[in-house]
Amino acid sequence: MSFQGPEEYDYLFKIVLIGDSGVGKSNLLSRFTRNEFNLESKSTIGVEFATRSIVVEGKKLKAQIWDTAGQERFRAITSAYYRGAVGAMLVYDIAKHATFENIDRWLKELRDHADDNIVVLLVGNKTDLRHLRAVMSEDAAEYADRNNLIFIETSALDSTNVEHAFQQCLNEVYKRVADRHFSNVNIGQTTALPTTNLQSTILEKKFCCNS
Amino acid sequence: MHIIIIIYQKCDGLKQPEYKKMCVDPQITSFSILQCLLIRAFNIKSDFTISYLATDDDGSDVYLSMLSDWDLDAAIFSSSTPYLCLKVDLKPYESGIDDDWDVIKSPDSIPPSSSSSSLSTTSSSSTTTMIFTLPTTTTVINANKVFSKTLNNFFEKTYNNHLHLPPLSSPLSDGDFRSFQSPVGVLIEQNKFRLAGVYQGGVECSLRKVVWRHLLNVYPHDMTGKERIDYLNTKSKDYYKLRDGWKRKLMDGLMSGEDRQVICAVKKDVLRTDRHHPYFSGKDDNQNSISLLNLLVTYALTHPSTSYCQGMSDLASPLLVVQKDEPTAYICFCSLMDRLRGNFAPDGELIMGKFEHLSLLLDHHDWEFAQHLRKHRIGPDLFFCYRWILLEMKREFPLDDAMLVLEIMWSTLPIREPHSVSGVPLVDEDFVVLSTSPGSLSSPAYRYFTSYLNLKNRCREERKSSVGPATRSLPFTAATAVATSATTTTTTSSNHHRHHRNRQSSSPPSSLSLLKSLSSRLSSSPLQPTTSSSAAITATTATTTSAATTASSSSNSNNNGHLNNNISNNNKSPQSLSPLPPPDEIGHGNSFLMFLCLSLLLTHRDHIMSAMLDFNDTAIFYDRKVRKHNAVNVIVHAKSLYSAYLKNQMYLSRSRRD
Repeated sequence: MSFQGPEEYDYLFKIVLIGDSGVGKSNLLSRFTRNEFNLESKSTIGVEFATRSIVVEGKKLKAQIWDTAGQERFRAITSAYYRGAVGAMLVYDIAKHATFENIDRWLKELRDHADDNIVVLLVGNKTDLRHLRAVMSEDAAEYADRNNLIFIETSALDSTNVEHAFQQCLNEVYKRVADRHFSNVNIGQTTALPTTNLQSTILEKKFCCNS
Repeated sequence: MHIIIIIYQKCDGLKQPEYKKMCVDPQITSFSILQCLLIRAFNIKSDFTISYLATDDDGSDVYLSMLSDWDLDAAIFSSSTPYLCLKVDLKPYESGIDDDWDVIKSPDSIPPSSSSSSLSTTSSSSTTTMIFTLPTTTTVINANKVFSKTLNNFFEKTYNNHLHLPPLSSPLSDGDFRSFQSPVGVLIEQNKFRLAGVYQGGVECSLRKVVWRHLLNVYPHDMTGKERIDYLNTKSKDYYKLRDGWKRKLMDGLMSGEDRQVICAVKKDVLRTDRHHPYFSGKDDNQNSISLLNLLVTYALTHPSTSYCQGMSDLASPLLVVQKDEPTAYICFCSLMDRLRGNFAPDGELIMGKFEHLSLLLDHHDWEFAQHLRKHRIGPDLFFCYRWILLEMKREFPLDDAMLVLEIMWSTLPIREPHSVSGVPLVDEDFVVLSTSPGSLSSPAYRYFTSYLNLKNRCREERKSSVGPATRSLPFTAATAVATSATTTTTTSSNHHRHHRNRQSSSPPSSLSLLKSLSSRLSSSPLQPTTSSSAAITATTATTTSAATTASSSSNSNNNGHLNNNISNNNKSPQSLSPLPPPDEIGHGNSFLMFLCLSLLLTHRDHIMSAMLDFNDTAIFYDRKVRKHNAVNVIVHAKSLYSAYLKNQMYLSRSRRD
């Protein structure tokens, strides 16, 4: 049994993973947070969580990543899911065109439920399935451009770009926070309890769980 | 009614011991209630331990520690004097020195030097039997602190290692099962079969196939063995018609895009459902995975208002593994979904109601832990339990263990007889409207629709009030059923039996007396996980139990003082908690599931608290434990929590009547 105290960090960022079921959201998460990939992964029910901390410009950013079921039916918890999220990874499967077509729908959901300034990455996953590619990088890049999204292609299976994708997302969030893009954000405030709104989720400077 | 007089001796090391007498009814006094009485009687504000006077093999008196209902029963039965003598040791407030002792993590090593110098151990220091005596000086108190801390560690370890838990009874055997049936195979002892049979220890693997059909309410009641075979044959034919219907449409290219999307969605999940289990291993297109696909697609397309939703593949998988037959598994699934479809409703109302109950239950049982989670809340309340509730724990255990959990849970559920002789409806009412060729079904199928309308209406009412007429009194029935078995009150005629069941349901008094007579059996259950959690539940029961006892207590109303110390950052207090919903409401149709969830939460409670895991880390912790929990442990603990809850509800309903 470990008795070590809670981890300290400068910023806590909530990132959500969205996209159709089976595009590899859970494996992106496990690859980034635990460097694991599970070929026999199960469908996500409800919400699963994981965290990982990275350092950006000397600041320790703790990413709290929420992974949810790809199917819409779990929308009972939708609003809670997006509440406080400062970054979103919108994932599709490069080998399944339908998952790319649905990006519109996911983007709309983001616009409806998430903060306007949320950083959105368009992530084409499963680049290891080269021979099955159904979505051209150019098309996706163009779509991303049109909708003001950051575009990246990854493979959770062979690790390609996974680290980079999350880093890029967190960097961009950090930049926006530093530039005070997120309204009502109090940088450096020592908030004891993160609650439901954006500002408290973003920043708990040296937040300590047992304080 | 037995009255046992008890003498208490309060030992806090510095003051003179205090003696009190009390009368309690052993039939209705559980360990947690006893703790509560002691708290009131001595105005105790810290943790404490209880030990009882017993006679050892050599005939000399020893104090044995009392940690559970099990020990309480033992104490009552073994008390050699007309009185049961108990001793209460207060645990001094822990600080400072304990931190040093945390270094010694191995609970296996109880330091012999400190124990021999500061504590007189009467027996040969067997590590499982502890005898506390009065600490008399401050140094002794410190040493005692250390010692009890070590013991706590030890208990935590033994608890986790399952050394201390009485195992489940042996699983229901073929012979047991036959004893609940008439010579022609009519299951005449429904309640007994469930609660005296399955609930006690599950079902033998080879018997699951048959028993699950009963547990899942697949058959109309009073069917003989032969009638059941005919029934399943007819139903199976109907299933094949439904299945072949959509398959033909798909092949002929007549299927709508929407329906094809459903098939795609199902396929995605079937390919990742229990593939590690031998039954579904092998190639993606193995026959069993295809059966699972067929079953789920047939359900989705014939139940348009429910359709397919992620999680259903997990619910259907064990049914198929056990039935090993696609049509029968389908019938079981229809019956199961009849109860569970509300969980998949887009409005999420039903499942949110279940969350609320679980949250309240945790508040009542372990206020400190609930506060910990609340304090470190980053996500919404207990959302990491979403999967537990939606899949009714199926994914938290290895599949074979999950089956044990499921059948024990099902045995506590309402007996829902299909409303018509034609049995479980295989299609939704909406399907009739949408289907282009209803005539292709056999005539019994038509009869389902009318019966289904009734069922559906019932479900709607149920969701509104969370108490449908059919399910109304089940948990009480459940409790009484166990009682029935213990008092061997049996009924032989099935009609009589049904009447008997209804009578029980509608008349709590008779069930009260039955349950009371069984209280000792119900409570032959394992350790409460921690003293603090049991103290918390005790605190909530305090007001209700005082009516049942005549305590000559000098205590005042502030009996929860030690709990209040732990509360911060919250407006609520344990006293202001709303009361737990009664058995027919808690869990919105599945009360036992709430206690399974609670058990799983409490199992890792100490780790979560001591490692100071925040909400997010707690969620991650549980996510990583998927399929790794120990099923027997969780069940045994859940059963003890459940029986404590039922007992408490009995007092409440009784005191309301009085």
